[in-house]
Amino acid sequence: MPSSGLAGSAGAWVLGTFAAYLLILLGIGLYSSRLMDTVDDYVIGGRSVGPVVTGFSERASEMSGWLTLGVPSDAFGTGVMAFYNGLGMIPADLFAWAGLAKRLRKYTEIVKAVTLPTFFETRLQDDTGLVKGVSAVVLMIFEGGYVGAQIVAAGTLLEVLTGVEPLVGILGGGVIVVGYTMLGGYFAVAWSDYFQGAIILLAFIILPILAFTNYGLPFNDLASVGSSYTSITAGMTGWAAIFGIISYAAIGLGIPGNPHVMVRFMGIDEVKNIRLAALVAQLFMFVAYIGAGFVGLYALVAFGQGGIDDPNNVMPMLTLEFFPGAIAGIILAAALAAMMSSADSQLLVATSAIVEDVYHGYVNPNASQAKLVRYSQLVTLALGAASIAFAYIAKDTPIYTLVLDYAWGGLGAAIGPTLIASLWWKRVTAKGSVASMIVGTATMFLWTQLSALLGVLGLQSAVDASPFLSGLVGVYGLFPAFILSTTTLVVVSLLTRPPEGVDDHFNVFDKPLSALSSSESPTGAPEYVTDGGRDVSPKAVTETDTIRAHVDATDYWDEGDE
Amino acid sequence: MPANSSVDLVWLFGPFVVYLVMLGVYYVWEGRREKRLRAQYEESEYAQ
Repeated sequence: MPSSGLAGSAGAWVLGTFAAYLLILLGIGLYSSRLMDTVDDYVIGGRSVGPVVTGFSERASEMSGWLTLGVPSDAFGTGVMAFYNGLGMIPADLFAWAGLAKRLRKYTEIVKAVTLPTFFETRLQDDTGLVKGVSAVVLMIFEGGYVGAQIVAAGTLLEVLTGVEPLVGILGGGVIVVGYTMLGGYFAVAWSDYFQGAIILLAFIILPILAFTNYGLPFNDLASVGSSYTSITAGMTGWAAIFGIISYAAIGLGIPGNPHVMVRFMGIDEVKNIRLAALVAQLFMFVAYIGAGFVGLYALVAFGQGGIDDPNNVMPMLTLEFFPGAIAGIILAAALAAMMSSADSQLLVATSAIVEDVYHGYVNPNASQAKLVRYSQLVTLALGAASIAFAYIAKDTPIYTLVLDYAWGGLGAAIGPTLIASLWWKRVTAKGSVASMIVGTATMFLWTQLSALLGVLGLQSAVDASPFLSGLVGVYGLFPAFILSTTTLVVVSLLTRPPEGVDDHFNVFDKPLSALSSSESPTGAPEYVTDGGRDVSPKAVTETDTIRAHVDATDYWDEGDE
Repeated sequence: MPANSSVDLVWLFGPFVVYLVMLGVYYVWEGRREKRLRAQYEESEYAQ
C-alpha cells in the first residue's frame, strides 16, 4: 500500500536536501574517480584507512536495510523484546573479532586467498573445484537475496518520500541500485561509507533523545498500548518464550558466514589494530541496537498501534516527525546511500562469485580480460533484474524478515561452520565442507517454508497441539540450519581424509604477520598473488579490490607489522 | 506508579552490561597477549 507521501507534508526541504546530498555525493565520487587512474592510486587511499574506519565499516555494512529500517520495525511490532536483536549479535561479533579475525587474516595470507571461495578451496586443498563452486553458488543466491532486500529498503524510502506506488518504488530503488553498481560504485569511497554510517548512528542517538524530551521513557505508554509490548518475552510463556529468545540469540550465528563481515577481517592492514577496530565495532553495535530499538518503541508511542501501515516505514516516519525537514532529508539520503553502497558490494560479491570463481576459475581459466569484464556486466545486470523481481515478489515481507531468512541466515548456515572449522579444526575436509554448505542452505530454505509445508502435509494441527513443537517450528531457521550444517561438517569430515600440511599452518598462528610474509619462514608465503589477476585493470573498486590493495602494498610487508 | 516498573530492566539491559564487561576484558587481555606473543617471537628469533 503506498504511503501518503510524507515528504509532501514535511515540505520541499526534505526532498531538496535529500536530492542535494545524493547529487553532491555523486559529484564527489565522479571527481575522485577521475583522479583515480590505477589500482595503485587507490592503494594509497586504502592504506590510510585506519582501525577506526575498519571497525565502523565492518558495522556500517549492516546499517543499511536491516538495522536502519528492519530493527525499528521489529520493535514497533514486538515491543521491548526487540532489544534482544543484539542478544546474539554483540557477543558473536566479539567472538569473531577475538577468535576469527587474526586467524583469518593470517591464514588468507598463508594460502594466498582474498575471497572466501578461494580461501576454502586452498585451505581444504580441494582440486575438484567443488568447494569453490558450491560456495560461489551459495554466495550468488544469498547475496542476491541481500540485494533484493536493499532494493525493497530503497523502494520503501522512495515510497515514503514521494508517495509512489510500491511497484514504482521498487523499480526506482532497483534501477538506482543496479545502475549505481554498473556505473562502478562511485560512492564506494571509504570515507563516504564512514560518513554515512556516522550520520545514521547519530540519528539513532538523537532520535530517541528528541523523543524522550517529548514523551519521557516510553515504557509506561507502551504498557497502555498492550502488556506484551513491555514484556521481555513479548507476552510469550513457556516453550514459545524460550524459542523466541533463542531466535533472537541465533541471529548472531550468522556473523562468521557473512562475507561482507569477514572480508573486513581479511583486509585489515595491521593485525595489532584488530582490537581497536573491535572496540569501535562493538561500541557501534551497542549504540545502534539500543537506539534502533528505541526508535521503534517511540514510533509506537508517537503514532500508536496501527498508526503506521507498513512497518518498514517506522524509522523514516519518526525521522520526519522529529527532525526539521532539511536534516531529515540528509538522514534519509544517507540511509539510501548506505543501502546503495551495501547493495553495490553485495551485487559485486555475487557477480565475482560467478564470473571470477566459477567461470574464470573453473569453466574457462584462459578467458580474456575483455570477456571477463563483459560477462561481469551481463551477470550484474541479470542478477540485478532477478533481485528486482525477488524484491517485488517479497515486497509485503518486512525487510527485517527478508534479510534474516533470505540472506543473513543462509550465508550464516552455509558458510559459517566451514569458516570457523577452517581456522580452528585441522581435521575439516573439502567433502565435509561441501556437505555442510548444501545442508545449511537446504535447511534454511525448508525452515522458512516449514509452516506451509506442514499445512500441506496435514501435520499443522499435531504441531499446534504441542507447545514444544510449535515453538520449534517457529524458531529462527538459522538455529537449526547452523546446528545441522555443523553436525554434517563434523561427521563427513571425520569420515573423509583430511588435507595434509595443516599442522604447519596452525603452528604459525601465534607468530606476527610479518613472520608469515618472510621467505625464510618455513611456511612463508611467496610474493603475493591475487585471485583475479593483479596485472590487469580492475573492473570496479570493490571490497575485494580494497583487500587486494591492502595486501599488495609492499611497504606493509617491509614494516613487519604484527 | 514509578517509571519502568512495567519492564524488568535488569533482564532487558543486563545482557548488554555483561557484554560491555566482556569487551573490556577482551581489549585488555588481547593487548597483553599480543605483547607476550611478540616478546616470545622476538626471543625465539634472537635465540636462533
